[in-house]
Amino acid sequence: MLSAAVAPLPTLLVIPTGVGCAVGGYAGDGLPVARLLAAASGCLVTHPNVMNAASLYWSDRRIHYVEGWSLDRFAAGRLALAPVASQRVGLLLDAAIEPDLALRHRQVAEACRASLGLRLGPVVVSDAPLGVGLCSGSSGASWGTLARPDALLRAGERLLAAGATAVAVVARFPDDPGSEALAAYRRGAGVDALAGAEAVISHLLSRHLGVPCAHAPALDPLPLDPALDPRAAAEELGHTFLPCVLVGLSRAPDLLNEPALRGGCLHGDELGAVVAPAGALGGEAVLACVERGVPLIAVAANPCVLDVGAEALGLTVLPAAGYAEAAGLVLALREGLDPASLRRPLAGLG
Amino acid sequence: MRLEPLETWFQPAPGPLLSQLQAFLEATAEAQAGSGARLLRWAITAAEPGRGLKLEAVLVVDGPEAAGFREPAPQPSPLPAQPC
Repeated sequence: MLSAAVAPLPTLLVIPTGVGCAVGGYAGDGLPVARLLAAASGCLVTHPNVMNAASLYWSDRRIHYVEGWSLDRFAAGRLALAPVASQRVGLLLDAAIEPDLALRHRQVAEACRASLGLRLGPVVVSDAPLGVGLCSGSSGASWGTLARPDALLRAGERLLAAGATAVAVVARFPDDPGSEALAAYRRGAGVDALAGAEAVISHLLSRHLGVPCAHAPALDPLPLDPALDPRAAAEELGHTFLPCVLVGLSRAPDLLNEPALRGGCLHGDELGAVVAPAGALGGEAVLACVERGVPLIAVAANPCVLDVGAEALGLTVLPAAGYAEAAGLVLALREGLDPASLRRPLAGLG
Repeated sequence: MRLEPLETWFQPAPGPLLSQLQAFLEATAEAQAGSGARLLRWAITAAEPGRGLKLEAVLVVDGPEAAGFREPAPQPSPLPAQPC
């Protein structure tokens, strides 16, 4: 008997990292958008930058947590996502992390085992300090360097050899509590200075290992700021940013090269919509979707430091004023409605 | 192995954009850093009518210098307008 339920519309949500997006450019403040779009679509693929809120997290079977390197390949049809009951998440600690701070991270992992029942371990320390450096581009966007990428990759290999099926990496990031950039970020008016370097680390590891990976920075606690922006507040709750990463990875899908034969996989050619900020359409995943004919919903109310819009790239988009309207468009597509029929004036067929 | 920034401009021809960008970036990466250079992440970070599309990337460079690390040159840096 056929079900009357409307089938999910697999949807990709992209909020680029380190470019100061007003929504999702802070501490997991894209999470409400992800939850909304998951409800509208029934199946959402998105990346850690959207979902990670330090000590806060939200687990939803409809949301697939996929790191950016793998997400780009999924969008291009080169990787399939295979949902699993759980991953065994190995913890990779940078040798540069001081003993007390390292212990805090180990205790987070212990807490996630004891209180959430996650399958975690082993814990591996890199054989050399990773040497994270933070940089800022001329536009104000953040990126980063790594002095010892070889040490990162070796530690990842050790985790996989010891049975891990996903990798949470914690690198020691430079503390700079007095910087103007950090003050602006904490007050909701700046770019996340750490995010670009985090992306470099997680991309590098994902590319090398081919398993779900995500990153949390290790930092000293910041002094209390009474003017803290709510969007940055999640990073001030605890001693680490690790819980959200462990929870996200614990149900991240397996990554299979196409053509993937395992049953129940989600393939890139099943995507029914992609949602991205209207001024940041020049990323690999979005362009791959557009070229495959996936409708692109461009959200105006998420400005960032970039201005790479549909007109400049010659792209056809479904414009949305904000994410609530984007969710409505996803729902319309899922229901088989022509989004044009919802707007006025309604042009004739000609 | 080392990480290296790449920044360049590209004037696309009519037609699908992604394949043009990827081919151009791969050739530019090889010209800049040698045959061991691979794209780690990239994005279009600006568009200007006269100059085309600004592309910024981070490269992974494998090779005989694998144990070393070279600081990126002090130039306008890659903007990671991609998900992480």
